[in-house]
Parts: sequence; C-alpha cells; structure tokens
Amino acid sequence: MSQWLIEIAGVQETVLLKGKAAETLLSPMLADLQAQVASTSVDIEITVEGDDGGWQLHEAAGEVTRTFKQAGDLIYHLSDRILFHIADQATSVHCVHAAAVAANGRAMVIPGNSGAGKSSFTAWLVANGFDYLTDELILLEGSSVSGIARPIQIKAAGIDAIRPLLASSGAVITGQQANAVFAADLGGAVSCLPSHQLAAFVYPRYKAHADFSFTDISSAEAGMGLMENHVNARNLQGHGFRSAMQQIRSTPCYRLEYGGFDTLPTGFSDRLRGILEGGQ
Amino acid sequence: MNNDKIYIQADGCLLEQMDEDCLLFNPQTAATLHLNPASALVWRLCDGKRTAAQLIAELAEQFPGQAEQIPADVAAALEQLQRLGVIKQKD
Repeated sequence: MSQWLIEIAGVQETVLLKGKAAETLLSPMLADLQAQVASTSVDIEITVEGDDGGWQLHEAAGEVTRTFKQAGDLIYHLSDRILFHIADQATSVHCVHAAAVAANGRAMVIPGNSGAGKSSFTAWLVANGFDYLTDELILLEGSSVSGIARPIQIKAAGIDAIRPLLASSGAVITGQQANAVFAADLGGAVSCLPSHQLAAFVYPRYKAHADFSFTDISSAEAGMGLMENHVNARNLQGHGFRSAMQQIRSTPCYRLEYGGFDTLPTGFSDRLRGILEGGQ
Repeated sequence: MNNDKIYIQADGCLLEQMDEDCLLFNPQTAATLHLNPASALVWRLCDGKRTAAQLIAELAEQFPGQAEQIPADVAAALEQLQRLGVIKQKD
C-alpha cells in the first residue's frame, strides 16, 4: 500500500493505493499531479484498490464507495474527485473549467464545457509539441497559470481521432465514460514549470463537419465564457469577477471552430505558438 | 411604465467595462450579464434618486438626436434589467 499527499492551491488530499495493481496503474498519474508519498493522512482521503477484475474507489468523507469495471473509468472518477475538492475549497486562486497548454512558459487557456472539444484539442496540441498543463482545471492567480495535470480524458466519440496521434496503440487506458491518455503517449510532456504566464484564451467549439475558423472575439464575449466556467467564484472576494475581467482585458482572446483535426490548417500549431510569444 | 418610479441597482452588482460593452455580475444569482452600451448606461443611472422620467430626460439631453426613441428604449431596458434582478423599484 502507498499513501500519497496532493497539495494544490492550499488544498490537501490523501490518496491511498491498496495493492500492487492500484499502485502500478495510478502512481504515474499521481506523480504528474506532483503528489508526494506521505506517512500521514489528511481530512480528504480517497482510497483505491482492485485490479483488472474490478476497481473500488472509496471516499472517507460521506463513506461513499464506487466500483468500476474498467481502469479508464476509475481514473476518470478519481481525477474528478481530486479536482472537485480543489475547486470546492480553494480560496486564493481562480479555478476555471479549462484546458491549458504552454510553450516556453507562456500558457494558452482553453475554457469550455463538456463537449466543446477542449480535451481533444489539447491532445492535438500536446502531440504538436506544446507542454501539457491540464485538460480540465486551471488555477489562475493574477496572470499566472498552472494546471491540474490529470491524464487527458477522451470520450468514446473522440478516441478514434486521437489514436493516430499516439506513440503506441496500447497507450489508451479504456473506460466507458472516458479513456485516459498520458501526455507522454502523445509524444509530449507535462510542463515541469510551477506556473506559466497567461498569454491567450482560446474558446473551442467542435462540431462535426464544421469548417475551420479562428477569429478574435470581444472581451465581453470572452469574459462571459470565463465566468460560465469559473467553478470556485463563491470562494473569492467579489466572486473573483473584477480580477478575472482584468485578465480578460489584458489577454488576446480567440474563438476556434473546427470539425476535426483534418480541418485544422497546416501551420496552425506554429501560428498558435506565435500568438503565445506575443505575435498575432 | 410609470415614469414616477425610482429604480435602484440591486445590492452587490459589479459592472466591468469590456471594450464597447459591459459585463454585469449579480452575486445574488452568480449570473454574468452582457449589457450593450445603452443598457449599461441605464443601469448606471439607476442610483435610487432618479425617477424614470428624470432618467429619460437626462438621456434625451445627452443624446438629442435620439430623443424620440429614448422613452421606449429606456422602458425596455428598465423592464429587462428588473426582470434580470439587477435593478429594483425603490420603495
């Protein structure tokens, strides 16, 4: 058994891994979350045990136990619970439902609800050389961005598009609700920097068969999108509204519409890299 | 619309200028509203002291070329802002 302490945005959580199978499956994920092996437990405690025959996830608070047949679903729910507690209790940073990648320490934040295509777009960006921060939750403090680097979660409908980007066919940890893909399996890496300079917001909108478009959007529209995805506003002074809008006004904001990776034009990743470096 | 009514901003609402438009955050509902310049101006003028008639007169003086349309626009804005919970009639 191994006991891991996660400490993010002042929120501490313990994840207990019981059994070799749980340790083998989840140690890489916890390492990406900058968790440390610890000798003591904290109030938020999540226990995982099982193997390929079935997994159990138990939260001490509320005495809730969930069972999963597939490892991908275990990873999905474990990361969901870890992120939930961070968003629920963080009081010093904005927690935003967004993906993020970076180049040379400069971050592109990709806000969006489920189904907007942000995880798939993030996988494409990582496969095209961007450092991975998160596909689900960013922490924004002033203009400093960090991400919760869980494995990228790709829904069933999107996994076929991701497979050509993978370094090996066995790199997907499958599940009914979501499939887990590590940045390393996309030929990329989790960013090793503790924080990044906010350089752009990109609001994705995936729609099958849609044409590609990449346009500036107004700060008002971008601000609306940010507040719609702001998940810990109630924990912040003034709901974090003024400080969030200050970041929107001082950061380039774009809308991306696309119908699949084949609609993204040649050179698009370089164009995005240029935007992060300060060009247009 | 009763032009003698006085409107006041709902408690705690926060307005931010975002280029030409404004975003208004209502902490009571945690909703963010996108206001065009006209609605934002009406909201700003709902200071608990002006009647709707005074508000209309002030805007007509500020925008003389639109004086004919202003009463209807102000009535619509006040109705919308009240429905959205960001202004209320002062007792």
